[in-house]
Amino acid sequence: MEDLFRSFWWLIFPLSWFVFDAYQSWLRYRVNRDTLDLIKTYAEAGREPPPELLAKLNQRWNEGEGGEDDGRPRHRRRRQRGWYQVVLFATLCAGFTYGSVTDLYEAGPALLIVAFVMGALSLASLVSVLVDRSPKA
Amino acid sequence: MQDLFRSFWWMVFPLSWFVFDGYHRWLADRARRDAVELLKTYAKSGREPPAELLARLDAR
Repeated sequence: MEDLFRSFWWLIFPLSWFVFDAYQSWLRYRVNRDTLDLIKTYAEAGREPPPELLAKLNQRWNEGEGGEDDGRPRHRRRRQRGWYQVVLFATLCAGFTYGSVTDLYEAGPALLIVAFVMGALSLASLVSVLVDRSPKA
Repeated sequence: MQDLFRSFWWMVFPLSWFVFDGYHRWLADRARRDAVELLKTYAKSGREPPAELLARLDAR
């Protein structure tokens, strides 16, 4: 078991990211639910909910921080996030390719698979940004 | 078992992605159901729901 951990300790990082992001999504979902509950309270009392509360609905629950409040249109934020992913995955691909070529930690073949995955994600993000037909800001 | 893991450790990534994506879709479904419940409240009281709430139904 200890030997297995020594070989695959680095898996902790990507798996932790999955867990962390899932938890963050759950928290955002709860904020969304609480907003709807509050609007429901206004509706049941026969009163109009404040526009600031309704503006919260424009922010998708799974869209991340910022929403409409940071002054940037949604499509522009989406494009910027797309480019961020292109650069991030390309850099990770380059790093894992280097690790594979130099047989880092004697795990060359394994790192090559990770490099392929990162390269594919980078290319997919690039295609997604390029074919995004939203108006440019 | 350890030997099996050493051969197929990379399957952790696609499988995690499937689980992660399924979880996201489940949360999206719950969010949409919550919005529909709120629309029912507006419908029962005979009032027009806000446009922001209706737009929420189109959100992925």
